[in-house]
Amino acid sequence: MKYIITLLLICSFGLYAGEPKSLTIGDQAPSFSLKNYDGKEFELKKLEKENKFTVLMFISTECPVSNGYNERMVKLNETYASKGVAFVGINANKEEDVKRIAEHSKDKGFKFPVLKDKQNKVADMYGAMVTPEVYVINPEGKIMYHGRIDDNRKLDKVTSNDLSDSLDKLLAGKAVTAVDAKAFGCSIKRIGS
Amino acid sequence: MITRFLAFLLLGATLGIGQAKKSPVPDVQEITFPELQVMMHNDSGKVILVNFWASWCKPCKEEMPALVKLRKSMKKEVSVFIVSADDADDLDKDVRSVLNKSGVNFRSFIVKGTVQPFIMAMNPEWNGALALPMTYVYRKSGGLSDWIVGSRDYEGFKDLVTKAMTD
Repeated sequence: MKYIITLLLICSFGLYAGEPKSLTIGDQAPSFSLKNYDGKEFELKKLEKENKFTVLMFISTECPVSNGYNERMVKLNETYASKGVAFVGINANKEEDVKRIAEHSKDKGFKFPVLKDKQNKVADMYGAMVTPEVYVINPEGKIMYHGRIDDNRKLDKVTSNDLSDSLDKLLAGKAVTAVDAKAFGCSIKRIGS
Repeated sequence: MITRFLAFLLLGATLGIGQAKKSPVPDVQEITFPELQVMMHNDSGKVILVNFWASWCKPCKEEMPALVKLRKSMKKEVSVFIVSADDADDLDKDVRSVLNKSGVNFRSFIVKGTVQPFIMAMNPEWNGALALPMTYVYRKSGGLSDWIVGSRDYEGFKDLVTKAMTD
């Protein structure tokens, strides 16, 4: 009896509360239109139609985790652009303005657009929480992968290339069977936070 | 007999026998989720605050002194568990450095193994990303009172704890 009571008490520390639900595999990707740091407008619907897959990457100019992925993001874009995959960065952090995003993108050699999500409306629609956090969307506007780029912020410790493995499968016409790998990183600094 | 014993002690002291290896400061213990559950259970009767942080996380570092102050000012009412989500090989260089600078002169923890399964075990319905800092506050009875993502100052933590005490 004492054992059962103890077990119940221990288990009660595993209770949980709610958190904003993030969109994930199988959900419909909300459409949006945002401006790149150079002023050019990007519309998700158009990107979806023009590409086999569109990868939305919530990123930051300041977050050490996001910055740890800069070279990897450049390489992913180089590898998959010719295969019909469009990479799009989105910066929703309230403290990072368009000027800083432009400087950062040029400095890091990003060849993909980085859109400014003022007032984090797109981050809210998707329930994106951290940087980096990625969503892969098919031409029908369906989310095919959501989560991390890979499993370690340190390149030499990566054991699972979740995003590239998922893209390879999707490009080969296979479904992504893995449970979406949870993103990790710096929390997105939202308006009012 | 006594002479022999004293001689043994003297020899032991000279050779360093029995001298405990000095552990690095501050004390950081690797921990699994079941181990954390047991420790929390041992402290039941108090409000329990579990804070997940990482050395690369700026807001985590900024809020650390507030947690130290909270632990000191409400020691009788609250147990504070500070749990690092860093890699084990970052412990000496990065984790201890931040803890030292923040005045954490008590035992804290670092997740043993991968962080995601740890959080999943703690919160099976966790659907989002691992955004740090992440803080869980439990009532004296053990039920979860609050679960927050993002940093808080001392007053913010105190409000969370006070709410858990009156829930």
